[in-house]
Parts: sequence; C-alpha cells; structure tokens
Amino acid sequence: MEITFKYHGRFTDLFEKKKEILSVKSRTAEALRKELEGVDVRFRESVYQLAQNNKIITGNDPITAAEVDVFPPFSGG
Amino acid sequence: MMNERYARHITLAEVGKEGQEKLTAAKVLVVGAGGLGCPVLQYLVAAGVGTVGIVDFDTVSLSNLQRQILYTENDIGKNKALTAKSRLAALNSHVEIKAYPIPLELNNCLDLLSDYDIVVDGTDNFTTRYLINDACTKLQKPMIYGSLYKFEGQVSVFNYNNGPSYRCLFPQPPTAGEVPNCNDIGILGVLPGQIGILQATEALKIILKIGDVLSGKLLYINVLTNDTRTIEITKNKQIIQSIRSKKLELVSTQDCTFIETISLSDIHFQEDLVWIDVREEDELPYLEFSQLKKIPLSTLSRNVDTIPKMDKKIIFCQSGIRAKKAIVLLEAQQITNCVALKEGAAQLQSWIHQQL
Repeated sequence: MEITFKYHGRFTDLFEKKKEILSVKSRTAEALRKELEGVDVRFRESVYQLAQNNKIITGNDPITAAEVDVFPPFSGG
Repeated sequence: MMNERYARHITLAEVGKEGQEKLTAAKVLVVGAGGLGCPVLQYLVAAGVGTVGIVDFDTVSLSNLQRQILYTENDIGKNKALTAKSRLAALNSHVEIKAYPIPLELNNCLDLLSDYDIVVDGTDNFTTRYLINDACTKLQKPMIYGSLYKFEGQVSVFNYNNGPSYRCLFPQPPTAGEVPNCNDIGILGVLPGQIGILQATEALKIILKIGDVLSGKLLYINVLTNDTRTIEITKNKQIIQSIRSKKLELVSTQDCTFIETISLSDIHFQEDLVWIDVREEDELPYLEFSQLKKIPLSTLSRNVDTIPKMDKKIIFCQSGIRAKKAIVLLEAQQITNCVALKEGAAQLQSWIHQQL
C-alpha cells in the first residue's frame, strides 16, 4: 500500500523534503519500522516515533491511515 | 496591593482569590534560563508563583540576546541564573527567587527537585532532559517539557498524576551528533518565546487545577506552516516501573559535543586530506580513490592506530550521522583534526566525478 510519510524536525533536513509517498508492505507499526529501517539507513540510524491520526503508534498497532508522521526528538532550549 | 497586582487574575472566576493563593503557595523549578527558560520565568514571576528556582551554570553570550529576552548587552559574561534572578526581582519583589548557578547533575538532582512542586524543562541537551525526567518519575513530580528545532516546537507535561513519562515517548536518547541543538542549526528567535509561554501556561493550569493539562499529549507546532497538532502518547507502565526501581543514572548522549562539519562546496579535492569512509563494507555506492581509507564504524575503535594523527581528516557515511558518531569516538581516543562531511557517499561520488 502507498503511505504518505510526513517528516518533522531533523528528518526534513535528513530527507531534504517535508513528505514523500512510499510503497510499503507492513501492516503494523513495528513491522513498518523494520521495513523502513531495512531499506533506508537514515531510519536505521535515527531515533524517531511514528504517528497516525495524531496518535503515536508502536508494536502491533495496525497501520490504518494513508498518512504517517515521523517525529524525531527535538533538542534545543 | 496584592489584590491590585493580580486583579486581572482574581477577576477570572476560574482563578479568583483562592486561585491566586494557590499560585502564591506554589514552588516551581526552572532548569535552564535560556530561550525557553526566559519567558517561562517572566510569566511565572509576573503571575505571582510564590517560589521560583532557577538552575543554570551558563553565562550570557552575545548570540543569546536574539531570543533570551531577560538579558541585555551589559549582562554578557555574567551567570544566567543570577542575572535572571536580579531582573525578575525587579518585576515582582513578592516572589522568592532562588538562583542555582550550578549544573544539574546526578549528585544534586533529586535534592534540588524535591524542594519544588513542578519542574520546567528548559534544557538544551538530552543528558539533562533524561536526568530531569527520570528524577521527576521517581519523585512523582510533573515535568513540563519544551523543545525546539528551527521553526518547530514541542510541549508536553510528563509524570503528571501518574501519566506517561518522556521515556514513554522516546525510551532511549539519540546518539551523539544525531540531533543538533540551537547552537548548531539556528532557531527563529520568537519560537522559544511561544513554546516557553505554553510551558508557563501548563504550570499555571496545574497549580490552579483548571483546564486540560497536556498530559499524555504532545503539542506540536510548526510556525512556518502554522501546522498545530496534539499527538496522543500512550503510557508505558513497564518503562515507568523500570525508572522507579533503578538507581538514577546519567544517559551518555554527548549531544552537547560540537562536531565540526564541512560541505563539499568548501573542499578542494587536491587538498592534502585523508578521507575516512565509516560505512560498512557492503554499502553502496562503492568508492575508491587515493586518499581514501575505509574503516567501518563497527570496527573503528580497534583500528584507531591506522589513522594518521596529524593530517586533516574528513569522515563520511551515507547521511552524516555515523560520521559524527565516529568523530566522537575518535576524539575520545585523542584523534583530533577530524571534520564530518555534511553530505553522504552518493553526493561525494558525484562530486569526485566533477573534480576529475
């Protein structure tokens, strides 16, 4: 299925874009993380959280939305 | 006189005299008197929070003045906690302001925090943020979190009424060089003001017991796109139990370490440079040129002896993240004169073709 990934914080610099459409096979949050990290070293090397419908998703949470946010931690204060 | 000073609070049915008395009785500790800390402190003191603590060992510099609005040019070189205290005392002499011109560390954290009802996180590094979070989780005190990235900000309240902690959102900190701070990447001057005011608002709501506290929610703001979202965070009981049962410890992110970077546009290929590729052996694109040494990050620590000490070294990987990690590792082994390439191996390959 095709998902629009919306990048935030450092990910916009790392991917040099604010969003992109990727074709993925995974149906759960954890599987999606593994799939992304398997194909792109930038995911593999970064700390981030995935969110859909304004909710952080982890583990076996099913992927139901066509849009997934990628939030890395922010630092500055 | 007190009624006159706080008249606009007392007029509010949700606050009233009783609410103002709650504010007077409250004790709030603000860790970090920088971009976030300045507006937080000003509004808490103006609102009449009875006791306000300020922890900051740092001194005011010229580049702080673009956003750290408590300070003036005359304050450059002075300690932030002490300077903020004197400025805030002029704003409201009825507030007890305690300045701690020291770093928040493992050995003083629990003692310092235990004297306060609420802790506001105005830090600029992950080591201190995780320390505050873990201490607040142990002490069961709310931590009002704020953080920034260029034009984006986040606010949340952790450890409030047994709610989620920061580790429920990010269980482990990023590694060295992974997330740059304001000093490295820049920040729009007004952004810490906006985020700091939201943190101060959460502090007042908690003290007054009004409204919906941002517990279990992450407020995200992008001031360029006006995108504002509230993201739900789920509490992870195992993580909280683990923090409470373990001894308080520091996370070693070294994220305050400044790592020098260089862009390809600033490099002359013929320069006397050593290039070090820290990607693993099977990663593409495959690069080969005379000044190149290939030492995967996973083997770097046992190959330090093969790296020339005197030459200028440019470290690269696929995205720049591992290059920064490699430099932290090399500097720990007294290998200096290293810079991280901002671009990745693919861009380097194109650049080399252009140079030849």
